[in-house]
This record gives sequence, C-alpha cells and structure tokens, in this order.
Amino acid sequence: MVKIINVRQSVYEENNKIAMKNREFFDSLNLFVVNLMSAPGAGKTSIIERTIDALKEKFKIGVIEGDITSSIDAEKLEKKGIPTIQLNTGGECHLDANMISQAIENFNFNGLDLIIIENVGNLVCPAEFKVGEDMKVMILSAPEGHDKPKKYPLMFMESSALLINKIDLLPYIDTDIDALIKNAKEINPNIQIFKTSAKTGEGIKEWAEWLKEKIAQRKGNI
Amino acid sequence: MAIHIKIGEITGFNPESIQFYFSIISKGTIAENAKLIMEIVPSSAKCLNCGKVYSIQEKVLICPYCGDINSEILTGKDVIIETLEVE
Repeated sequence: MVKIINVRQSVYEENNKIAMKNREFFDSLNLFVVNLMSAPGAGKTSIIERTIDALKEKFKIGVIEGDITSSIDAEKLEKKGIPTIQLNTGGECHLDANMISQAIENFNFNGLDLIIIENVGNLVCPAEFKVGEDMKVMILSAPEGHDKPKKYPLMFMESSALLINKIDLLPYIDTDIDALIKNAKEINPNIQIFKTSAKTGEGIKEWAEWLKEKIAQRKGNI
Repeated sequence: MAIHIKIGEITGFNPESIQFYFSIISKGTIAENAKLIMEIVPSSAKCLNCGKVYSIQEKVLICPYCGDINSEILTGKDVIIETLEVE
C-alpha cells in the first residue's frame, strides 16, 4: 500500500530559523546589520573601508568577513583598528545563518552600532540565504557590464541598495550606466542606487548619508 | 517510493542537479531509487497598490495593471519538499 506523508517543509527553513535567532540577538544589542554582496573584485572591502571612514565619528562599526579561505581582508581592516572577525567558509560560495551564529558566539559586539557582513564574492548564492541582517546591499562594479541585472536578477531583487562602483573607469569601458540603472530598476523599482568610486571617494558621502538615515530610522523603532 | 519537490522559478535550484546529487547521496539508504518528482513553481507577485496578482515576466517587478512599483513576491522564491510517497 502506498502511503502519502505530508512534509511541506522549505529547504530554507532551518536557515531561516537561525537567521531569526541572529536577528533577535542583533536587536537585543541595538545593532544595525548590513549584508554586503557582490561578485569577486567589485570592491567590497574598499567600500567597507570608505564607509567606515565616512561614518566612524557617528557609529562604532564592526565587520564580519566571509571568505572561502585566507584572512587577507580581515587583516587589512584590523590594521585600521576595525573590530573584525574572519569567517572562512572552507569552500562554500556564500555565508549562511549558521556561520553568522558562530561569529556571534566568538565576537564581542559590545559597544558597536553597525555591523557590515562582507559576504563571499558571488552574484548568485549569497542572495538566497538570510543571515539575520537588517538589509542586503550589493555592489556591482561598472566594468562588469550593464546586462548583469538581467543575468543575476535575484540579487538585485533582494538588495535595498546598489552601489555602482569603480565609476572612475567609465571613460575607458563600454558599460552603459543608464542602461544598467534602468535594468536594475525594472527588477527592483525600489532599489536605491549610488554611483561610487572607492578609489577616488566619489559618491561615498551620498551612500554613507543614506545608510546613516536608515540606521537612525531603525534605531528609532527599537 | 517518490519525493515531490516544488522548486521556485527564481531560486538557484536546478532539477537536473538535484537529481544528479540525489542519486549519489541516496545510494545505500532507504531513499535509494526513490523517484524525484519536481515541479517548477512560476513566480508571481501581488501589487501593493491595486492588489492584483501578476506573473513576474522577465523578472520585472512593475505592476502591469497600474504601473505601481511596490509589489510583494508571492511565489517562486522557495523550495519545498511537499510529500513523500512510501510503501
């Protein structure tokens, strides 16, 4: 006899449960958490450095560094006196809620206001996993091309803000920045777009101001 | 024996890959030779302005009825193990 067993369970369920616990923990410390995603080499670490420089008077900021291997980025940030914890995924192409919960156990968050999670460089998988963040933010560097929102829609859909980085290179490349913005806005009409250059510092102020406002809104709600 | 799985269209899950890895990891377990019956769930969204539900064509999240840009994704973003058929 054939028996039907109802399971009706999402494969994301366990991850989402842990993400919710992480969220509760961050809320209990009144911490704002940004999950920063991009392809490898788009400028996540450089943007984090710029963001911290722009906001350090206002907020105490910590970084959770996700990489497949190595601690190059964490060392770079620690040299600047930024509290950083390195997570090595050991091959996995994204961070998940469980890895962040391990960071929670091994990191002293006291006195911090803002945590930036630098996800593993990848435009696909990081968008699928909640880690307990307040918002997802993505970086696309201008040389990656204006077709990327169409090719990797989920990340654009999930992100509250898009930083188009390396705009200092625009005169030398064929990326059509207006088409890029149009493509991103079609997929996510509410996405906030900033044109930045971590190299020259252009656009960082606008992005930092917006983030500051978001943090203030959130903290007002707690 | 069969496992029914619903795969959202806008997830990174791919039926061919699930089948490939399932056949490897199920070897030697009671799930070996279980049939995977996978269904792709089309993506849809509900407009937060006019309330109409529309399918997300070309991943564009703009309401085709009223043009509003605020929508909530209803389906297509989850992967659900629905039922097991066992003997």
